[in-house]
Amino acid sequence: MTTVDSKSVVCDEIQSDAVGPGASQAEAGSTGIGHGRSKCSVPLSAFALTSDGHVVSGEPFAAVATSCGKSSATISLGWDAMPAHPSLILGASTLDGRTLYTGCVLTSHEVREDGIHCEITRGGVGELVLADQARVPTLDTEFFQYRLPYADSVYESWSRAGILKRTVLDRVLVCGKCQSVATFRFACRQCGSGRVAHKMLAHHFACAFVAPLSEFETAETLKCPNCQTKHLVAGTDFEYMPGENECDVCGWSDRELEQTGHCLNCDSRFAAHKAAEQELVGYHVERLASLADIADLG
Amino acid sequence: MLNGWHLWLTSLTWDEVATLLLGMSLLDGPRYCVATAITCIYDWVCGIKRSLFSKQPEVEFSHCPSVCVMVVGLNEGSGLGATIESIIGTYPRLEIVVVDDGSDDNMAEIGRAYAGQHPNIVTVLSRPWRGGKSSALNIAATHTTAEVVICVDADSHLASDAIWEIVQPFRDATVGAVSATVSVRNCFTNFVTWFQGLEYLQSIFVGRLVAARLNVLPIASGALAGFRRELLVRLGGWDVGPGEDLDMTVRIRRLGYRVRFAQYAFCHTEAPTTWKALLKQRRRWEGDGPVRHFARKHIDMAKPWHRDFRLSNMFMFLDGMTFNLLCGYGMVVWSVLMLLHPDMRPPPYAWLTFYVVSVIAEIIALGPLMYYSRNRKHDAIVALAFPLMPAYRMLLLGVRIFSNTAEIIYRKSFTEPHVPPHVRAVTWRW
Repeated sequence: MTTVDSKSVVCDEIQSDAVGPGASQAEAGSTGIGHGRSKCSVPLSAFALTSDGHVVSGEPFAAVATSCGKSSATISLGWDAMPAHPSLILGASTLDGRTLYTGCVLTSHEVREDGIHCEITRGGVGELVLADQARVPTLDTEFFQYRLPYADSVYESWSRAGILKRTVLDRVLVCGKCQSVATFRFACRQCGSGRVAHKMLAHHFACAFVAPLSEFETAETLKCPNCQTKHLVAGTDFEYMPGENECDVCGWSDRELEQTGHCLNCDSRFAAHKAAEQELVGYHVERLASLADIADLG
Repeated sequence: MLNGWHLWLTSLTWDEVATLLLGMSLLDGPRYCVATAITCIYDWVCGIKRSLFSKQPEVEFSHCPSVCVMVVGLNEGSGLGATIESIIGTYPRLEIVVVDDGSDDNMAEIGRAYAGQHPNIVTVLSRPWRGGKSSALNIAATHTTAEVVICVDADSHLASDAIWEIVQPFRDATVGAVSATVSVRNCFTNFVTWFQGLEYLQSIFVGRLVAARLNVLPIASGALAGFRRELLVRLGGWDVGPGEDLDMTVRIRRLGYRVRFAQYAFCHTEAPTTWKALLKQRRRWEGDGPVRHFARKHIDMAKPWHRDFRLSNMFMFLDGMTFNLLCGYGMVVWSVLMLLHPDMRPPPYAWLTFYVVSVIAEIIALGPLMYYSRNRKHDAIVALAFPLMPAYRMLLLGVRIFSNTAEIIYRKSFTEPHVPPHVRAVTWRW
């Protein structure tokens, strides 16, 4: 027997080989002492879940972990605390004030004089929601929208219960109509097409004439259309300069292109400044690595 | 001394009086005062006649073509914002093209900030290295289809109705360019700017009115000038400077179009504040006018057998050559003659007479200035510099003589840093 701390939490560590080969399965289940389990007495907060993953509103009910293994444990609940659905979230407080959560499923229960003793295993809906990939929005490649795998109301109920903490992970520009992801590029102001030809200008140093390069081009050589000087050499006689942009689709000519969004879902085009800004919201939780860790928190 | 002067004056023969008056006619001030006084009296009489007999109210602004204001500059980041502010919102069919001619400062960034706020009005074109003002203007011209192009210096501020004023003459299809009034914004900084303030009022605000009436106005100043865009396209844009504004105006005149003066289209510019900067500026301005452009590039204007010969252009040529070139040398000759003339010695009396008559001419010239002025209180204070203006004009005449001589002998304007070296090396020499 080892006394762990002043809270009189007693932890009898019984190694698996301590349980005799003759011990029956039923006994192991009823006592909560099984393969690799630690006996303990750790107070827990238990949150009942509905079948669709929502946290049942109201205060969490108290539970005490009596023996903990890596993936299974025994907890005792009060007389009136038996949940309607077997999925639970257990919260265990650390000495530094944090609460670590894990999802579990009631596999069996036994009514005794001091309460209801339940056998639990790690998993269930709760563990699915607590999984890393379930708390970060991912891109839905069918509709090109960032989504969380479960309904928003699920996360809201978990947040209200204080299990999950809402965190803005990023902000993205999306289509104002359908909230889908768009691609952005410099495009024609008139029709939004990215098929735009950049016209090149030429500046003839000697006469300061500036015109589209095409006006300088003759069959044999480059010639200034203003002063008729032939055989112009780039750098010495003239320089290239950026000119207007002409849209290949609508023919619109403009000196400046506009940053334009193209929605990947509904195909609408819009000026970048008219795009909607969407917050990518994720949820943070401090998780228990395994049920066996509960015993260490005593 | 006054008795001696009186005796000297009464002893002069008519020949000697004529010699004295000849010298005065060589100076800008006395010469302008006669022409401006006549123009002013004419306008005064016409004004009275109009007020008595005309029943139709005058419509102030009835012409509203599309306008592109081209603001071209090099390292003008400090003044660009105020320039754009003075233009935006003053005219309905307006676009502004800012060309940063390879600046090292934040000129392009400031322009882009305004382009961000007014995306359909302001466009900023930035070139990575300097190419010269003419090519920068030509780049801007390729980016507009407006009917009228207005050039504004990046350090100049426009009056709120300046664009309206400058586009009105374009109602007349024979008008190809419109000159505007450039006034000194900082005229009370010191004496240098004060003299310039009065000089600009007399030679531009009133002087150009007279030149335009006589159809001999050769320049629409680069600080604020309007051009019909189709003519710019026909002419292939601005030629390499310096003096590209004068050159463009003359070329438009040679096409057969008229140059008008919008007297109340005001552009306020920053004048040099030191004598050194002023003399440097004038040395650059004066050299390329009569010699480079009139006597060399556009000498055809004086050839009656040339295909685009026009009498008005020949008068303009003669006006420019006479008053901007020959008068200067004439003054040198006159001064030498005065010094050598036995009866003009002792010179103090001759020079005193010369000075007093010049001041009287300056006073006469103030009449037309006050008549046309819309800000009489301000202009009257500026005009208080008149007693010293003859000396100021003599100084500038000296600069003019020096610049013209340097241009005649060395073609100084072709070595000016106004044009970047790679352009200077290959441009045409007139």
